[in-house]
Amino acid sequence: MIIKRIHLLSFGKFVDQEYDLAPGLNLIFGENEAGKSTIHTFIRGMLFGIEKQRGRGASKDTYSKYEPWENPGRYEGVMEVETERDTYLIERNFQKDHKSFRVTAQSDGHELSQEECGRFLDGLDEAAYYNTISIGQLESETDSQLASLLKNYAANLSSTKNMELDMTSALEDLGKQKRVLTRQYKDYNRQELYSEQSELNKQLNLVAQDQKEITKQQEELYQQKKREEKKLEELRQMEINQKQEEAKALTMIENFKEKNTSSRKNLGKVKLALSREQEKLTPLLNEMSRRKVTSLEDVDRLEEEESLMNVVNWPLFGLTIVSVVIFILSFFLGKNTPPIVQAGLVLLCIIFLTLFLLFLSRKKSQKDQNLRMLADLRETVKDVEKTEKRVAEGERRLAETQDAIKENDRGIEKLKAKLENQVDYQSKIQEVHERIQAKDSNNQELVWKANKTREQEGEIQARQDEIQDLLKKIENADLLKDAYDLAMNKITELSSEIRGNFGRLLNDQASKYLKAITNGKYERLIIEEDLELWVLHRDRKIPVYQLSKGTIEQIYLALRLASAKMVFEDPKPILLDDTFMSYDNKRMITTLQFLNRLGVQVLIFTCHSREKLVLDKMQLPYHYINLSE
Amino acid sequence: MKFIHVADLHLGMHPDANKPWGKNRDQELWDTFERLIEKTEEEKADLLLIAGDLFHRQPMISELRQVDYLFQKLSRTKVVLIAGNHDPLTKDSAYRSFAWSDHVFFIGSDKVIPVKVGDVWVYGFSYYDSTNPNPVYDTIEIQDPSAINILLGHGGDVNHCPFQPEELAKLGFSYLAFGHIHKPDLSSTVPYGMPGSLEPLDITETGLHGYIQGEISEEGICTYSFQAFSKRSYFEEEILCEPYDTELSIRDKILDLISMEGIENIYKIHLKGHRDVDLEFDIDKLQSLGNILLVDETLLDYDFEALYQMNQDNLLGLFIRDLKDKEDELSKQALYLGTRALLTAMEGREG
Repeated sequence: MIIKRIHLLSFGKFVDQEYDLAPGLNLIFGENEAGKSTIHTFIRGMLFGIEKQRGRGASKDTYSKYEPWENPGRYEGVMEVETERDTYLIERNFQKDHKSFRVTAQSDGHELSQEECGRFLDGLDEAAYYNTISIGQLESETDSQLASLLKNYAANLSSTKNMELDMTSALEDLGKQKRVLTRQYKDYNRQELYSEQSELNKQLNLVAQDQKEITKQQEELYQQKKREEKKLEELRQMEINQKQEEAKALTMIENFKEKNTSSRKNLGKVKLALSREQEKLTPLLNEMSRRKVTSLEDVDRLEEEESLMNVVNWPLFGLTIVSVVIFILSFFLGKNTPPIVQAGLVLLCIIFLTLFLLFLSRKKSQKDQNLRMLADLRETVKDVEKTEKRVAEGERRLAETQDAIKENDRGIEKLKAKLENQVDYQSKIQEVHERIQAKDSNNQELVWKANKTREQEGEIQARQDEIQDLLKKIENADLLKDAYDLAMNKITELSSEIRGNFGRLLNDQASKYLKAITNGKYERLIIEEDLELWVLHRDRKIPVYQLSKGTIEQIYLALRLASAKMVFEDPKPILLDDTFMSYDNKRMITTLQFLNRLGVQVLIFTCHSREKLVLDKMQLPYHYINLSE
Repeated sequence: MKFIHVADLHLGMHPDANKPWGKNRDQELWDTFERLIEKTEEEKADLLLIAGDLFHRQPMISELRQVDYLFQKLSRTKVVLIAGNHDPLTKDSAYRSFAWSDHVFFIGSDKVIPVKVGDVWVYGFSYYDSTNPNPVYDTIEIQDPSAINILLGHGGDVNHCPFQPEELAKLGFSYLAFGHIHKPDLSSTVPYGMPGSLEPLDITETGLHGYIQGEISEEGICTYSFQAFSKRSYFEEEILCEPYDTELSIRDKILDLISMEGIENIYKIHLKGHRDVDLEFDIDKLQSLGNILLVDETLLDYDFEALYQMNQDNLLGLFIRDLKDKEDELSKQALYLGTRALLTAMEGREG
């Protein structure tokens, strides 16, 4: 790019002042206050504009400084630049209320759009301008300050500025994202999660234990309940039995009562009969005592006596027999016996027989009568005995019945007592029922517990699954973090590489220029990794801060020229503003020669005449502008 | 002889416990079991074979009573069951003391023993521990080859009685009823079936779940088939996100997917593809459309080649150059993160 012409319509102290500029060296001479800085600022303003500052520095800012004295309403200029592409006319109005900026391409006269305006300078921005093109003096710094300025400069070269910006911004961005990611999982510690997992496994085991316990208890309860139910059955049966017994007892009591009632009735009858018998007995007993008989034996004895009583009158009998015998004998003896005797014998016989028989029959009938009387007596005794027996029987029966009644009464009493001592099976059954219910509710509890264990299983399982997911997420996050690290490292690495490359190239380029500027005195500029600067002088490495101010200025110039060359494909004009102040003549000669050889447009602003002298002396071509004219 | 063969019901498990649909999943395992009993009764099966892992952990007595109560609803079916590696017959297991109904046969031996169930001989064994290294199949001999013989077993991997169906079939069983693997597996060359879990138990168990139903003829020929029966299925799907997709269009894609396959089912959906740089998914909102676990694997829509071409001389270009050909996930992620950060920085600067 070449600045062909500047036309200060109304700028600073210039009004409608136009200057043409040549492609190569341009010497712009102006005493102090002649307007060198105005031109400088004009060129910069035409390229980049001048903003009115606000606030504190406002009154002393660039805008105010160069606001035209005579005609403040008019604050504008025109500049013609030629780039590789075309020649452009830049028109600017700096006046803050009428700010305008227009670029026209001379080839076809078309006005550049906003976008094209931004691009037609090929990446030359204000920062680049300051860092490369506009080379002022190094202010009088101490040597080491100068050196560090150089160092800072080396670090801030604008070619890599974009890269540096991008790198910084990208690294910040990536760093932030990584931090967000890390924060997401910072509360999760893999170790803790692993140990929680084994805790959970233990808990599962405990739950399994609980379940075993529950199972065992349920089994026991089941057995116990079975036993109780059996007992219940038994009790029920016993109750039924008892009730049956009770019914039986009641029936028996009834029976007994009935029996007693009839017995009592019988008793009466028997007593009645007894007394009647007793009545009957009395006369009979009297009879007996009259006969002096007390028992059947007595009667037997009497009967025997009686029966043995001889009914036979033995004398009569004897007589009878004799008579009979005589009679019979008479028959035998006698045919001689007189029939009277025979008849008398017979008669005797008959009389005796008849007497005997009469006696016999009278005795007999008496005996019979006695026997009959005895028989009657016997009957009586028998009767008495019978009656006595009957009475005894009756009394026995009476006693028996009374006993029986007593017995029955006792029986009734016993039964009643027994009925009193009924076992309360109902309450026992109730107890067993209650126990069974208790077991049922225990079982319910266990069932509830069992359900709880299932819930616990679910919860533990859920947490375990959660942990699994978390671990996976953490793993993924770790991978992602590694990816961030890789990206950031790669970017840093590449940036260093780029910086390094650029640095090397810059190094080479600056060394070349330095060698040329110092006429071979310093062969090489070495920019170390840490941006420390050294020069190589006859194989000796000398740190820059040990050099003279003049040399440092030359190094500065070489560096800036080199960086300008590297940054801009299309060479930009170099503005040197009183650069050679601290140069001795020798240095100035070599530098000016070098600048001539460089082939870019150089605008040398100076308030000295030295430069002109040298240029003339060395016969170097240049375009001269004297601002005072 | 008609039979129904199930295994791995894992009653007592709480699948997906921390997910919203997980709250009732444990109850659904029981509900499906009850439905199975009803189905068994409806089909008038002669035999119900439960090949282990009926429970997910040691059952409680009240739970066994519940199961026995359900068994009692079978009017003509006999039930044979064994203990698996999740519900083994440890010394204090409730299985040991529980008295099943008369038509329920629990083979509690740790060696294979035959049990006569109706006219059929069922050979089976139970686990006494959570692993089983014993060579249980080595000593099996069929006592009555003329009868129908069925082998009821549990296992199949290295620590759990590994076996070869072909080898076991040679012993002469009419049917090999197994359990342990949760994915259904039926052989067409030998009479062997693994019904899989009756209800799927986690996201890896996609596909159909149910039971095996079969018939064994008098000559001992077995025909059997798998019947899907579970209340829910798991699906693991991908949904492709295009750069022009928005939150609503993704929502609709998700709704289409779950409506087609059934909204009662459980989904793990991977969002893949490229999304517009301004699109951030509200994962929670999208997950609430159904029983969904959503994984955002979408990448920002960057054309790295083009970006590289346009930025060859600056930091972004170099950055892309160094990472764009790397295959590993870490580099890919770093590429996206760095590109996004640098683009944002550059846009910020130029704006």
